[in-house]
Amino acid sequence: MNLIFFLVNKFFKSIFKNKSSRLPALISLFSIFISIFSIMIVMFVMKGFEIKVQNKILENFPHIIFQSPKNENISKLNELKNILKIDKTVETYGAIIINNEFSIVKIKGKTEVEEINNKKNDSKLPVVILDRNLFFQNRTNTTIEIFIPAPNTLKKIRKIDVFVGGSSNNSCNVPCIFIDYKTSLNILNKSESFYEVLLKNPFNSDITIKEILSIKPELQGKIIDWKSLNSNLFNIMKLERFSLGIFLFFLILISSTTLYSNTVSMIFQKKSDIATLISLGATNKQVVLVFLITNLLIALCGYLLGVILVVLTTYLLINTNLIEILNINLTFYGIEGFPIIFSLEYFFYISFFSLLIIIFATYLPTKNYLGKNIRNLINRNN
Amino acid sequence: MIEIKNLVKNYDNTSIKYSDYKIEKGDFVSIIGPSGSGKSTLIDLIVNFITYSSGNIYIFDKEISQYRRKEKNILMKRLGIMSSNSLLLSDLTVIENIKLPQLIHKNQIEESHMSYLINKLNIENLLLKYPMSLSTGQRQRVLLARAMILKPDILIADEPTSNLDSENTNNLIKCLVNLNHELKTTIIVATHDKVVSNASKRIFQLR
Repeated sequence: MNLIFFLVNKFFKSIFKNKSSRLPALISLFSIFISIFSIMIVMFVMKGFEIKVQNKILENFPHIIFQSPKNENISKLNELKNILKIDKTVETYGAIIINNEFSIVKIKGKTEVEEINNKKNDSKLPVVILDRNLFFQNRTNTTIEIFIPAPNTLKKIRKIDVFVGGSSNNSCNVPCIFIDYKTSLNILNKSESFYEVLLKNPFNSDITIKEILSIKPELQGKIIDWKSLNSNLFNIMKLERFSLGIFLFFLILISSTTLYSNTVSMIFQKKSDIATLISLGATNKQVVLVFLITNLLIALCGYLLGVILVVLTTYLLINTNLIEILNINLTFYGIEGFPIIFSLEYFFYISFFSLLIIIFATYLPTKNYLGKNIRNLINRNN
Repeated sequence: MIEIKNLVKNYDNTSIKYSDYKIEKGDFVSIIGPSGSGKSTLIDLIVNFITYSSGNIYIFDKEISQYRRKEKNILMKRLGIMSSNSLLLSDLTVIENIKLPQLIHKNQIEESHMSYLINKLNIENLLLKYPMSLSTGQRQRVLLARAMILKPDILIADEPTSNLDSENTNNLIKCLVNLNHELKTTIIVATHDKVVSNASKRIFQLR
């Protein structure tokens, strides 16, 4: 049997058998376990939150928007592979009164509304569709009043009765109603239209923009995708995640100090064993490796326990209603499922840097005390 | 086999100067002297546990400082050491302690030699015990077995009979004499025990 693995096995077992060395070893083990668990869970929640926000944006907002004259021929753009649908839209701000309550809304002209108008409207009133949130707040009302406080084409405020045709799948960042693009209730200026583009793969929006610009170079400066529109939000989230990650890494640093002191105390406890090994002809390198591996094993046990708990917690949070134990009602926050995701990228980054710190914290004292200075350590006078 | 010339070891406030000695193959030498005369220091110097200030120590006709790292490893295999720096590892059983030099030097142990040592030193019943449960005399015998397990050319022992009662002292001395006779092992013992020095072939007196 190999000397190093034989002694590592013996020393590792004796650490947990011996009362005086068991407690410091357990403190090291658990501090690493807690650090790994905390940093991974927090980063996975942050990543899950970003994904949820991203999905919300992709669900509710167009992936690309561009502005073009009313009669522009855009049929060629439909031939682009990544484009799913192009919608014309016009928009302004107005106000609505429901149950005598007044609120400001965004009014958007959409082509989809025309279809609903033909199918459902028996009242001969112009049809509108409310955004999802607005619809669920006022689902009992079928007619509402709309005020247009400052329309582009009219000098005075108009009041229009409308028929609520249903709810849109989209929700807006401010309450909004969708109206028929063709008629636009005669309140919207349609000389210039916005085009909302939905993509098959929204993550390739920048490539699609390039393709659109190669077909219609005059759109330069008038086209924007969801990434650029929300770049500030994503940058802030990235910054938040990065700074949290940095601060949480201090936990690993702190736990590595316990590992450092544990290694030092083990070296001093085993001083006579070290002297014996050297006197029997063991090399400094062999002794260094024995202590390095033994203490690394303690740290690795902590790391593995942390990883197992992280995987288990992530699985439970994704697949069960565990979070409700904490009395957190997710529907209140308007999200489906707890925002957590097992990110392999983060898992590897955190593992790599944690293990690097752990190895460093164990290597430093072993090299320092058992390297060139080993004779000073084991000298009988010391 | 071992030659000491003009050897001096300086400490902060004092220095120890040794006379010249030559130890031949098959010798049984006792190094005696009062406390502080440098008996244990000489042992530590010979096994290169500490470095000397001036002079020379030749082991197997080569100056000890001239041994390279790998050669030192081979040298340690040829030396059996029983000193206060070489105790039993508390996490290992007696048999594991005895076999430790085999693991360090990756050597095969001759089973007949191991049985001979176990038998001669009367430690058959101790093999699966841990050092904590052994008496001082038993520990000394196990240490001697470990020092002799690789059939070293030279056995160096520092106060092997300290803390032993007269019966255990006599047993240990018998073992040393037997090993010197039967295996032709050169034995160097630092001791203040007259029973040990009387059993040796030559005595080096330190002042």
